Amino acid sequence: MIKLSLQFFIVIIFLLFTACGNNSNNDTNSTGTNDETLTRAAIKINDLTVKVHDTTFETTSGLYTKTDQLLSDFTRINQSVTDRMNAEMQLLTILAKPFEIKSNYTNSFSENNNFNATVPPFTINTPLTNNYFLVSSTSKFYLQGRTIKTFFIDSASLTVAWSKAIENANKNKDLYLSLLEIDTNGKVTQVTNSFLLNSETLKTY
Amino acid sequence: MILVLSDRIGTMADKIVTTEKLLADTLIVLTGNANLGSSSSTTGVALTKPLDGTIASKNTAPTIEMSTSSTTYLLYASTEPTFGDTTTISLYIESANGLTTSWEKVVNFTGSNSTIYIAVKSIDVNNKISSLSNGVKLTLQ
Repeated sequence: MIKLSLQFFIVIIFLLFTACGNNSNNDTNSTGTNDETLTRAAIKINDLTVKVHDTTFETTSGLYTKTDQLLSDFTRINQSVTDRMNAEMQLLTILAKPFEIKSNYTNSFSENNNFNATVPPFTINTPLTNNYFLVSSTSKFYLQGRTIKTFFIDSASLTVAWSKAIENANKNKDLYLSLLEIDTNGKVTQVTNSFLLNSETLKTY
Repeated sequence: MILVLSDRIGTMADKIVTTEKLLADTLIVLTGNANLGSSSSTTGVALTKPLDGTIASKNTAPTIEMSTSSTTYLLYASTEPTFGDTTTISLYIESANGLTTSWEKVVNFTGSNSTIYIAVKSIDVNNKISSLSNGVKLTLQ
């Protein structure tokens, strides 16, 4: 754009000099020739002005479009980063929760601190009416392929499930445990947050 | 110059957005994992029969009972209790007869192992698939 303006300026100066030169050289000639020269110069200046205007308009429009696109791009980035951060916070919130039995299940279950290889860390206080899983995993995320789910409906089957979890656990890794309820409609509800059984304890079993 | 810069920022923005969406999707999958019990969209199913530790025949398919009334399900058979991808097969079962037909595949998959773990994912009338059930250990004879 700057280059074009400079060219435009040089052309105008050139035309003015030409016009002036013609004028001084042809003082004795007819005034018609001077008029024609000035007219041609004026037309050229006009054409050039239009061309500069068009180019400026195109450049400005292009810049405006690109600036608009840039703003749109930054908005998209901002939105996707925000979405990801929200998802991250939700997951961290779940993972950061300390072990507890959910309030709806405190009558049915309680924590047993005197657990060992044959006694699970959860106690059933009342007869259960739904289906339950003891979920054990080396993954905090309970990913399939690293997680064992064992069905239980009473204290005896919970003890069997606990033994199975211990038997199949990788003793060199911490074990995360949780209880899930499956109701008659198939709705899955978390009964407890993750219970951590560290590998040091696990090795003694 | 500005136009080139703008195009490059646009390309960069596309890559950032794609990466962020992939990360967000992964986090949502992890957060919604039915095993974390935090999902409201996934249904669960319990495999109530056969019982854990049952001795099953290689020639006769065991009776499968689930906590749902669905007769259509995916049967998972694995040599590991964790049902890892590389040690597991899944079979689409539509009825008890379907299980009888597919049982041979399960037995063949087991090979020389006498222990196998099975689990199911039920499929409801809307073709919605549940999360993986509990695993049941079977000893094949």
